[in-house]
Amino acid sequence: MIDIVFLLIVFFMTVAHLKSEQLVPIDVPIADESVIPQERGVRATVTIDGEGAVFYGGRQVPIEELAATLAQSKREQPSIAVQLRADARVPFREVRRVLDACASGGIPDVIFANYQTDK
Amino acid sequence: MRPKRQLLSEDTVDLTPMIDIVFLLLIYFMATTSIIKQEADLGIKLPSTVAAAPDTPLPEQHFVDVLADGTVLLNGMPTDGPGNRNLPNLTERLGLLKASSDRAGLKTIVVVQPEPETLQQSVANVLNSLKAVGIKSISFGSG
Repeated sequence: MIDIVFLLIVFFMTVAHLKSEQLVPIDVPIADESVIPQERGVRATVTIDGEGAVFYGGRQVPIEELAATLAQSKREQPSIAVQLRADARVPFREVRRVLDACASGGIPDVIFANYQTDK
Repeated sequence: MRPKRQLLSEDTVDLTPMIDIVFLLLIYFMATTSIIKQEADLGIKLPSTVAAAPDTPLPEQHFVDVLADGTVLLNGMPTDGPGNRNLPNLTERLGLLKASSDRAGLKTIVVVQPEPETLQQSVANVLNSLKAVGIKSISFGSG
């Protein structure tokens, strides 16, 4: 019985762990010089998927509303940075719109998410 | 009779549950570490708000164009073609340019100008190259 209890504990731990790490699934570009951060700081995650759809956190937002959403986050947490996860195949046109939204939302810190290697 | 039994069983410790738990922990750590591929950072600071003033090009300001097919141009001169993710020529030339501006005490500013159709991977290659050289003042211009 103790075995089964442990099994259940492990199962729920794994599920919870996977849930907390859940991000919009995309393939970010590869850059050897990027570093895996020790301190993540306060960051808002903006994702652009392969089709050019924009997500704030896990929620899809129209690009026109992104600047207002980011400005709101900036007011709540002044030290916020934007972590921009753009799919490797997305054209720069879409990335520029998000960068413009960051600038007009008043957040100058932009972090591009990358994989360190292609493995 | 119970205490007597416990004393007896102390001699032969049953290892099976412990092995079970060890296996469970092993599986748990295997599951959590291997699945999630960690994403790393390439940070920039956007210079200002959207409207870019048409300022005069300073001597230490360099322009990197990224064409839609992944070709990279430094100050209008082609350096690297598509297909090589590491951009060796761009990295080398930017390194030399940065070294000379450092000697003159000037800051090196790089304006990255990707075309609208340029893929994000090509832009990331340039940012990677800039990071390798140690250039921190980066802005995005209109390609």
